[in-house]
Amino acid sequence: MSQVRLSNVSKEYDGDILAVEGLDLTVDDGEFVVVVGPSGCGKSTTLRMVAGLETVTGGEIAIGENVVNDVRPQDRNIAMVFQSYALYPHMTVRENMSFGLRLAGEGDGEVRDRVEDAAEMLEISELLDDLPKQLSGGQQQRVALGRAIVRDPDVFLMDEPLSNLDAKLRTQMRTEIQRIQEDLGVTTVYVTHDQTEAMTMADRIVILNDGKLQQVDPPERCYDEPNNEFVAGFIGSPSMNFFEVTATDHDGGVRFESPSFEFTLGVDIPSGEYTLGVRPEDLTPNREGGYVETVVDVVEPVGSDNFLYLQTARGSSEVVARVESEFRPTVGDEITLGFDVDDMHLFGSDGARVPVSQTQLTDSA
Amino acid sequence: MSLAEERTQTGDDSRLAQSAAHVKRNRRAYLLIAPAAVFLVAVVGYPILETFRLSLYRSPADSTIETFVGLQHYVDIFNSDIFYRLLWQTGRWVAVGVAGKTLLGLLIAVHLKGDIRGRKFFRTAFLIPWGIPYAISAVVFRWIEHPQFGYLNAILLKLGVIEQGIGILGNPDIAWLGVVVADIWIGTPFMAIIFLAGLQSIPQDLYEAAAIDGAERWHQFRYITLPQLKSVILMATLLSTIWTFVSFDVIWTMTGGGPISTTATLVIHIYQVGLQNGNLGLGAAYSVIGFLLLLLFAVVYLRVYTRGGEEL
Repeated sequence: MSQVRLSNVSKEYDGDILAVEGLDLTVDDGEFVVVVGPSGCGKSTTLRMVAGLETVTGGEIAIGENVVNDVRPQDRNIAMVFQSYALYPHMTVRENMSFGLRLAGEGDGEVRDRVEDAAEMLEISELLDDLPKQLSGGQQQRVALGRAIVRDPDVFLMDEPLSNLDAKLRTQMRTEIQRIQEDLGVTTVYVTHDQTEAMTMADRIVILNDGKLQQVDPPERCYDEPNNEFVAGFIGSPSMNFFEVTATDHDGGVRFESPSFEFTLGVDIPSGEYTLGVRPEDLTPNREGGYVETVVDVVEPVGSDNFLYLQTARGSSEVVARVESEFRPTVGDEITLGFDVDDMHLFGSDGARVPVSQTQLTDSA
Repeated sequence: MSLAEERTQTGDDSRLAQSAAHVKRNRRAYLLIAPAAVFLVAVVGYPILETFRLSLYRSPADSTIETFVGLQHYVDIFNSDIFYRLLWQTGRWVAVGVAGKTLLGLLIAVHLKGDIRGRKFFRTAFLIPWGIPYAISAVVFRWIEHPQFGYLNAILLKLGVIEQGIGILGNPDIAWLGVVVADIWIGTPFMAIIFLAGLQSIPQDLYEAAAIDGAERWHQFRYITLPQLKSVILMATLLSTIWTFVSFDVIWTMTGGGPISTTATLVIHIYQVGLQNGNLGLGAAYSVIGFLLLLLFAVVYLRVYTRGGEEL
């Protein structure tokens, strides 16, 4: 088990395409880190650089004490689970799982014991003599995990391992991977584009966009205090609502004006242009003294909640609200939405988070 | 009629009815393949049957009189030393030729798949030998191996490997090797292209998974490439075996089967006996034996390699 450290790591393709730019990240020993971001953000490239499948064009990657930039994948003592599983089609499950151990020169007895232990842990003991093509997607996924586990590696690398599974199986395997990782305590870097996986599995989330690091924090913190507008919009489903606003001092507080609304809040920020963000679940319909007047466009019941897709009465901005399932308005209803000042996020013109401190309004607006 | 007989009869009837219904349902398909089937029967089926028939007759090429001799030709063949020598020479020709083409083809394919500069150029360039008429390649190799004017001797002399020019194609001990080299040169590109296509269908992530599992390049070749390429290698070597077995133009152009018949194969001998010496019946009998040998080989080969129930 080992720490994984990336210092100012960059990856440039063909001299002009920058896939990863100056990435600094330390994954602690035994930690489960999920790297998340939209397609093309450089997350898989980062993982493949740690694996040694891609060369590093700038910076340094270390596993444990050793800088591994020039170390081949064979010599890194890592294990990787691929999106496609990459099981050897002509080998049985047992042969697939024992391949690495045999190459490492382990004895027959040792190989058998370790493969059978791992198979038991993953509940695939009865599949050991089957070929991959005889297995379902979920079973193949388990075998791929098994192949990683038996090697007793320093680091687990997982490249979107659940994206080929159906929704139910995905949820199940999510818990299972977490359980296994906790049991084994192996440092794990897990790449996904699915923010639910990131939120539910990670000790810390690493959010990338355009090859640049956006935030590294525990899931709750990424959700509650996003570093910037990108993180705010990426984490959380449905996405945060954003409004372009102009803020001016007013009555000891700040007056926010946009084409869709204007209101004064007891906060203390410098005057200027901002992006104001509120999560759909933080919007309360028909709240006394609400701020944003809207008209219901679509009501989407998902059982536990209802998602409301609304248009602002002025300015025709789209707003999404997540409300209790009992609250089910009809299309065309007029609703005034409000939110707590605590739940408001503000981002400056550069997209960075602006801390909001509350003040007492001198005259309630 | 007993009950059992009756049951059998109705069983047969219903099976017959089923086939009839099947034909009726697929009438259009049968109609569409009919011309090809007729053509095949005419150009493949009929000659095979005719060769079988001819092998039972004494039939001089310049005569219209055929004398039925039964299996006499076969008895003569199996009692002659020539036949066994031909078998050995044919086996040697096929085994060394196919092995050479397969190994070289594999080597070239593996390297052409790699990320090398000028890959497209090499891919095209390596196909050239296959595109040149075999007889012309054979003439070129006859020149290369010429004892006085050939490049091969000149190079070997320059390097000091030999002290005086050797006539490879005139030496009964090594002439067959001189011809095999030409055949390998001609046949390798086909193997390389087929193998390259096979290699390109192997998913890259298998190699990546293997590398992470600790597999060196050799291990990857041994445990990923070869098993994944098995069915392609099987089909390519089977085809190559058949083509090499029946190949005529390279040997005929380079040596005409000589010296003292040491480069003659079954096919060369069939030509000499049947068409040059005009003994059509005996030539036909040799052809039938060659045909059966190839058939046997193909059946056994496919059986052995598809034993695990794998489909090609």
